[in-house]
Amino acid sequence: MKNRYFSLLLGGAAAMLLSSCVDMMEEAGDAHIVRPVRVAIKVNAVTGFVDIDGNATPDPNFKPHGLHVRFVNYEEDAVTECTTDENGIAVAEVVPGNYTISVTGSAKYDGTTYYLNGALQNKALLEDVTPEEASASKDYSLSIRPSQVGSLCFREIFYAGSPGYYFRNQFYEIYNNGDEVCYLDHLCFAQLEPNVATSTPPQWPDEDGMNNYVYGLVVWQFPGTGHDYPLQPGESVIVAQEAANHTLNQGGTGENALMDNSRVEFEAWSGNAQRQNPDVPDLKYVYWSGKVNTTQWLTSVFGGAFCLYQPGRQLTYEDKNYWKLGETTQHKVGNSVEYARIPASQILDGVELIGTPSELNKKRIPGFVDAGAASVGATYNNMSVCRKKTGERADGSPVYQDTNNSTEDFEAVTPPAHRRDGIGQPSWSWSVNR
Amino acid sequence: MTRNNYFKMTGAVLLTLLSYTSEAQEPDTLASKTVSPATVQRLELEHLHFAHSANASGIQLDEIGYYSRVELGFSREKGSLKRVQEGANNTAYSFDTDGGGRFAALGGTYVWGRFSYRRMHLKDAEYNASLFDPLRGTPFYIADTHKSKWINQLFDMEVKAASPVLWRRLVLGATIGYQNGQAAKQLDPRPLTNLSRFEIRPGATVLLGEHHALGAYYRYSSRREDGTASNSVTMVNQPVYIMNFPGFFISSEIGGLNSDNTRIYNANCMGVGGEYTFRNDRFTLLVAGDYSREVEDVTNSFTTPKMVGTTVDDRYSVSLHASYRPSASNLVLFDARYSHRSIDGIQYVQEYDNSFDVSKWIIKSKSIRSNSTSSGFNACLQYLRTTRGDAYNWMAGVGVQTENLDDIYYFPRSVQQVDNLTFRLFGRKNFLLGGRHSLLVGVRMAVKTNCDNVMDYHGYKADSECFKDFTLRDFHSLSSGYASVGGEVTYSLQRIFHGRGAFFLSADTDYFKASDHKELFDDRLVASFKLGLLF
Repeated sequence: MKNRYFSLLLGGAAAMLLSSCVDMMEEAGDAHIVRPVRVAIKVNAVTGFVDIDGNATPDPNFKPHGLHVRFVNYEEDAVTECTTDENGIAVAEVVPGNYTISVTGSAKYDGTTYYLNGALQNKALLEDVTPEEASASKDYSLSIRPSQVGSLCFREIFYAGSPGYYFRNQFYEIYNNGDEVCYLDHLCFAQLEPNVATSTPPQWPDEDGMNNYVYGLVVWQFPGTGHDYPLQPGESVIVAQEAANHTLNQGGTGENALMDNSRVEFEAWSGNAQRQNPDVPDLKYVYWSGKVNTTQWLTSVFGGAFCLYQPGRQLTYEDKNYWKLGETTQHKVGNSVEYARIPASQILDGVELIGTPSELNKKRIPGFVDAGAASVGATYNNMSVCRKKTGERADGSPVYQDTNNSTEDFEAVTPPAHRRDGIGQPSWSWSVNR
Repeated sequence: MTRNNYFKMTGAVLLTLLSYTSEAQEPDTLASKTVSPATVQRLELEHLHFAHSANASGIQLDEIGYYSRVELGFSREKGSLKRVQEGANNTAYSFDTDGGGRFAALGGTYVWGRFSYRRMHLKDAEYNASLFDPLRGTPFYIADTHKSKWINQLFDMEVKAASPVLWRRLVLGATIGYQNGQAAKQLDPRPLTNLSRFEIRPGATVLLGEHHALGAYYRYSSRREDGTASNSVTMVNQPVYIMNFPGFFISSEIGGLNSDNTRIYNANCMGVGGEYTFRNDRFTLLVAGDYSREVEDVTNSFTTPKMVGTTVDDRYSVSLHASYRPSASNLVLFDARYSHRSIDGIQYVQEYDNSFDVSKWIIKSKSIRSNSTSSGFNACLQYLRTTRGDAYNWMAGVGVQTENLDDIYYFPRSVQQVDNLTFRLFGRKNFLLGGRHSLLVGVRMAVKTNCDNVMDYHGYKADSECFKDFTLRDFHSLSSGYASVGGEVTYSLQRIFHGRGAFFLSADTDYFKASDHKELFDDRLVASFKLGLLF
């Protein structure tokens, strides 16, 4: 009897093995020699809500003509480039695959220049798509949101840390790259979710639509009531994780020298009494997803994502009248942890950072915030990302590149530095007269 | 000039050896009753099924004798004339044992087995951070930029068994093989690659009268290989290339948050083979053909697997082997084989479904993106002067081999083609040094000539270091000719262990000198030393 069971077991195992082997061979046998596909993409400029299926009403004020379109297959490092025609249609011949289709360009409306940047992430292009099909299908339409060429921007971000696994000297420099004074009052500085680049972006509820919001892990807000913190053209303000003179902590020299952050304008202090510089004003956190990390505000040394946005009012941490689920906060599908829900219309600038340039396929924030991503290529290498200088104003202050594409706008530099190129310090800065 | 010199040298040595044979010929001696390296070599050569057939049942037709062998070996190879991914300076230690025969106690059942263990130290191997053997045919692997040391070990065993002739007509047989190996790279990024392979080949041979026989067998094998590259210096990321085909890759890194550092290879192979045998007292003919298909899926994670690629490896071959014995003192062997191998590389378009209840990679599309075809004809004619009982007095042979490599990446269309031709000349002399001592001396030479080569690359990476230093250099190595000369000396002490056994020591070496692309390749020396026992 035992022998019979054993035989049955053996026979069953052999049959399963053979069956799985045959399945594997049949599946492989289904593949045919690759044929390139000719794909058309319709670009629309929208200023209203885009639903989860990509449906939106194009804004006739913005003509998506002559925009530069890049089809990038990051799994093969293949790039195909073309431009949109008068109907906003771009056509490319590509090998079937997953593509990031990025659109860059600008348009003038009402005397103001707007960027028409956007991207479709991980779009599977598997078959031919005619221009007519693209025009009629939301699957092959890209709704891009015009964004004003803003004055305030991130100029330099030092996130990767220094040799010796030193990460407390992270800092963020915000610059007025425009021609008019900007007021920092109420300005919010958000660290975005996902915290690190990922090929599996989170799923947000359908009601949020597509690319209408970004989601904040931690949100800091500048003080002021409206006109208390002006930032003149050519001036910058610096926010440090820990406003200390880190050169005293470790003996790095030259390119490995640690930062002296003791004279920055603001400290992003989260509650660690042992790590507070009483001379430096604290930036207030107004939102913190989950539990506040009172040890420090450490952003990923592999590269986080950040944005500046203007809610137009003073916010308060745990203000239940303001932070409401589905309005100003949101959670992922299947997860109860909430994040700040930041509307696209309030965003002034954004930068996405990735661990290495090869991780561009893991880009995780919408193209209207940042059409690309910047990187220093490693961790703890004492390098920062810095906007490229493109010119100078009459007063000699620098003008930096800001095309809303961090891949192009930023370069990795070492050592990190505050206020390069003769950048000015705001007169209200506490350290000006010290 | 170099080739001519090698021809002359080899010819001179062969002539010297052959001239000595006229004096050394003698009738059967004690050698016929003992086992020596020469008797085992002859046994391996003249029994056509044993030497050439994958069908174990056919071995009964060979009416082969019994032998067993155990040996310890050390080998060394060094020099720049090599494929890029091979080590530049390698050593290996080995333990091998094989043997078997027909057992009267089992009613004439034939049983033969083999076990080998090899521990290899490869130095300065390049562009491999995944595979035990990067040249085995898969285009999907991770390549790094460093010259690395690898320590590999391989256990390899095989058993063949064939029933006695049943009902005067039928022989049943089977071959079972198992391999297990580990490969450990010694420089970041460093994977520990595990390999296992199981194979079974049941077969049958039907005797059609006294002279004819037909055989057939089925082949199934399963192979699994996996390894995860990591860094021991964790704060320094290591640049790597994710290879899809020579010249088609993406740049990446091992370290940090990059999780694409694992390769899991899972292969199944099925195949069939058939053979026809004719035999009479003087002549034996074996005509064989086989076909197999191996499908190998490559994924990059144990938990959320994403298909990296699939290879469909089709192989077929037809061969003809003949032995002719015009008299007891002479044996002529002829082998000819045409083989063809085609590897389709399938790549996938996938999408990660991160919905709460799915969370896995979904295949949206797949297509054959590349093909590597290799084919070749190989012919060899050997003559053995068999005046030493079961051994031989001397032997000489000549061989020719064609090699056609044809690689294509379909889009953007790029091709790589290589046609090579190789001539071989070899001979051995079995010197009896009186009584129990003998010396087997062999010499050989070969010339490989490249007849044609084409590299027409239209990929995106023509300026990259990986293309120039790896793909192009490997192409040049494949299309580079060489001249080689080699030899072997085996000393044996016979009639130990009650008269049948033998102890032997052997040294074997080949020297290859590049004749093309001398700016890239110079030479290569391969040497091995063995000591062992025969029973």
